[in-house]
Amino acid sequence: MGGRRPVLLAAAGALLLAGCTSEGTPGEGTATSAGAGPSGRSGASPAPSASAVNDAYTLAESAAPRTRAQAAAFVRGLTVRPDFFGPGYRKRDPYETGPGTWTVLGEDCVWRREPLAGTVLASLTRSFVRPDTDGKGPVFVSLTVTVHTSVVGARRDMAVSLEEPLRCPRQQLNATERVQGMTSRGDPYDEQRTATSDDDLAEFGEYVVDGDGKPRRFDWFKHRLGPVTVAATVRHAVGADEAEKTKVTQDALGGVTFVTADIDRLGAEQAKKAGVSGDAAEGAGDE
Amino acid sequence: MSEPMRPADPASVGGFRLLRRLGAGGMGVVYLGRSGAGALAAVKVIRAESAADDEFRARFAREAQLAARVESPWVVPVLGADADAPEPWLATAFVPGPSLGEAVAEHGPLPGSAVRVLGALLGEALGAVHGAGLVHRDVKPGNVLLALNGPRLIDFGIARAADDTALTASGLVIGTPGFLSPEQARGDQAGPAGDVFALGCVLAYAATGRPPFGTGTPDALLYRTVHDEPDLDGVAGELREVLDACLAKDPQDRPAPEELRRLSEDATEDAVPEGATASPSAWLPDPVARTVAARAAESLALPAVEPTVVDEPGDAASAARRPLTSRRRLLAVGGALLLASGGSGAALWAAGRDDPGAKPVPAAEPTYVLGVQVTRGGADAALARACERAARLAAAEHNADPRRAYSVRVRVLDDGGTVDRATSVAHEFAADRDVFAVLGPTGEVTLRAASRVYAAAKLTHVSSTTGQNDYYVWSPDVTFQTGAPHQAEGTAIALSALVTGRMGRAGIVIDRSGGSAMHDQGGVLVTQWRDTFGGEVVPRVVAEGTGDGAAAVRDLLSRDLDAFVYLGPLEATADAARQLARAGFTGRRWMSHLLYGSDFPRLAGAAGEGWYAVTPAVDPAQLTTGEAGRLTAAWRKEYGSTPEPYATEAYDSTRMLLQEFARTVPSGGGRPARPALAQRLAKATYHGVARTYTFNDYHQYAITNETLGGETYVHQVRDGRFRQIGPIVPKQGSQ
Repeated sequence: MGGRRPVLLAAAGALLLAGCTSEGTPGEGTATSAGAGPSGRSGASPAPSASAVNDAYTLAESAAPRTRAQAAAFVRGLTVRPDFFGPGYRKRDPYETGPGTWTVLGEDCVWRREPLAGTVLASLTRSFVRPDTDGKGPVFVSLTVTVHTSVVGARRDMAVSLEEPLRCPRQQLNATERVQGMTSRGDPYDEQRTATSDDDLAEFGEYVVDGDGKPRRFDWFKHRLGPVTVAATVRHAVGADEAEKTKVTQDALGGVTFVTADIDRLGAEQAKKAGVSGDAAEGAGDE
Repeated sequence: MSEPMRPADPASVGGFRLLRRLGAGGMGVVYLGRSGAGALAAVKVIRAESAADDEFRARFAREAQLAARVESPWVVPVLGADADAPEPWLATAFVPGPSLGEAVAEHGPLPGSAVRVLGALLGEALGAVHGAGLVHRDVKPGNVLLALNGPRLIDFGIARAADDTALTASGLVIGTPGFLSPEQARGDQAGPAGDVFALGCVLAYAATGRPPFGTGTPDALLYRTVHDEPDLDGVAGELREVLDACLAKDPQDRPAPEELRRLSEDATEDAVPEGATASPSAWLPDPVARTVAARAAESLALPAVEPTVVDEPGDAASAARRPLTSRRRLLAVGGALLLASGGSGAALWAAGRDDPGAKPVPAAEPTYVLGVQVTRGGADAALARACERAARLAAAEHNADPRRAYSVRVRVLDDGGTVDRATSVAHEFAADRDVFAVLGPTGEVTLRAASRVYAAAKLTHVSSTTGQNDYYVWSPDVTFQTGAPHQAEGTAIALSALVTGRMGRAGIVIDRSGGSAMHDQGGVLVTQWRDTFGGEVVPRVVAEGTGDGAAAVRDLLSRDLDAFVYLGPLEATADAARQLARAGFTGRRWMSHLLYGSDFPRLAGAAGEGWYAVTPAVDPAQLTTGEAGRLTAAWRKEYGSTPEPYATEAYDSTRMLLQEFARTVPSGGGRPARPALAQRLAKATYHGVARTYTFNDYHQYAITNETLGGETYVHQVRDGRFRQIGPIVPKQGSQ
């Protein structure tokens, strides 16, 4: 019937930055459509009765790596190309960090690289740079894929990430660099906000280098697919204007979505091999 | 859905002049037609390509012949058919409805006496269908239309002759999950006993307001149909016995449809009070009968012949949504709303209903409809009730004004709290040209879903119970929010702490099980408490679905706190209250503003005493202003109680819509263009019972530091109830 024509979730892939920042006036929320990632999703043609909730990028626990060796192979085996994040990126040196260590924000608000927690099987960070070509400065992007032992473990890790900017408004990265003023939001897929995976977290703030006059914008995304998290950081060029920063953020978020879509596909294939139907595996990702 | 005729549509078919399109499907188009004698008909015209197949034509001819043999006053009669025409067609009598699905969704479950009459007459109808050699196969609330003198069974679109096995050999499930028999659910051939099972489902739905196998995905419904017992809670006595028999898993155990006749033998006794004269409509409760009568009156007003409509320039969308009360439309409504009404709140609703907005109005007076979109089931049931009552009261007050130029009718639809149903409900309101605005939806997710539809339809709506403004991205014109942003309620807690004592050190738990609103509020609370007001905070974010809240509270209790905030769902917050009480914590304690009006005082018991909820939701019975007193008195008169939580804001929102709508109605009469209301609202200032409403650039309630202090209320749990202490910062003379 015409009246039940589905209205497409036009902004489903858009990143919505709503709400006030720490220094904002309450109630004066800002709603900015900051662009969409690659739309490899089938969400464009749902049947009227189909629920978009089933469309999250996810990974069933049963299809996820079980051992540290499997997890290390999994994170290394993912295809992550520099141009996922936009034109002009290349690998940094060193390119990979992990998979036996990860970074932890201490009680003292200092980030340190530590051995993996017992609930984590592997964590691999890949680093990229878009070299300075126009005098505005380089852009740095990192992508970290972490395999947890369980969905619950990954959920707890997302909660930890949301807690970090609340307990540490200034986070020291090393002797001279820190991030500060981070505001965050976490969007479970089933709330129909902007999430593309089971749970999407986004944080925005400043990256400060001692001695530099001007802070750079800093973005942090972390998407959860069942027991796996995919996080990205973006350190913007110091001289970029707002439009350029928005473009860089959009492109980087697009890169995250290439990776999460790939993990979703791998999981579905894995489930099929194991004789479970793809649909069942998809739905089982979070429950 | 129904639309005007299109240029390519035929002007007449088989002697029926076609008036408008009622709907289109895979096979063809259904038109509203008028016979030479003036009777209205639903004329189904099959597309030539669908009819290319000889087998199809044979089946169509057989279906039409068999259907024409059915003789029952409770089955819509076939008026004519032609299987050999280039485009085969079938005409049945047109019944203006509403469907049973729509009636229950709008008015709640039917009283037992009406259900028994319904059962007896539909049993008779099915007996006639089976007697003619047909099996209906899709008996459901959307296929039962209500007329003043009894129900009508419609839609033989998928009916097949009982002896025609070839057509079911594919094992395809035919019918509507949730209203089909276990044997159909398994893909087996459906016989007459399958229709009896479906009738049992329909009667259970009519009696309880709930589909007997719940709601959910088709697969889940089919599974439950085969394996689970039906939900017949609240159905007792003879009706229960009959339903149990109809819903037997084994077709052999089900009664013949005619046996349902016994239901009516004593039904008429309670349907008609002793000494009263039975009116034709006595079988239906009054509000339903009024709806039935209104539909019938509307269909009488249809023109004899309507010219093909040319779209109005610049507003093609609204031109396509011309008015219609049509059988097909009601069918669609019935189907959508049937699923939408699964909430357990429905029964409760019927019991306490009062309908001041539905008083009959003089026929000559124009009537506009205020839609109310709510989620009646689950945790939001109380919210829905407050919104519905508020809208009805505001409409009744409008209708009581002798100077009014038009009357306002309230139409409530339940969106079940899901994206799909919220979308369907919004389409339903959008398609009803008489709907000038909608109050709601009541939830964040349903708001996000429905606002997309309202945006396309340019239908203004106001949500008074939500606080996330994502909608602005896709609906920057017609969606408004009178509920305050959740972030502001984070600041409100910090401000109330500042006003009532030293800030000190606060433990703040953000429990993600409560959804993203918890983080909206908590994130701002942490920064305001610490960075703006200079207190100390120990924040904890708890992962959803882990039950880690208790560990977070335990950890915080060792941190020498002065204050404690738990932002999470109801049960987890009550658990935290008990944990704090056991630990002897006596500092100030806050819950999320979303728990104001909840069951927290009862759930937490003594441990909940003293907890604060800070929210813009006001209890007007605790205010001394004239407006608050007037609303409280009117509410008490109408509903027998003081206004419940969130009622005042819904009432204000409705009144604001009515006030601004009045200014868009042309002085010479006529229907205003829909976008005009939103344009006015964006600039409006409305002085409500306890708040002044204006909207910010994102169409969100514009809260200022002054209104945050003076129009946000501190409620404290005392003696097992929420008690309003007053605004955070009392205005002089307001208390």
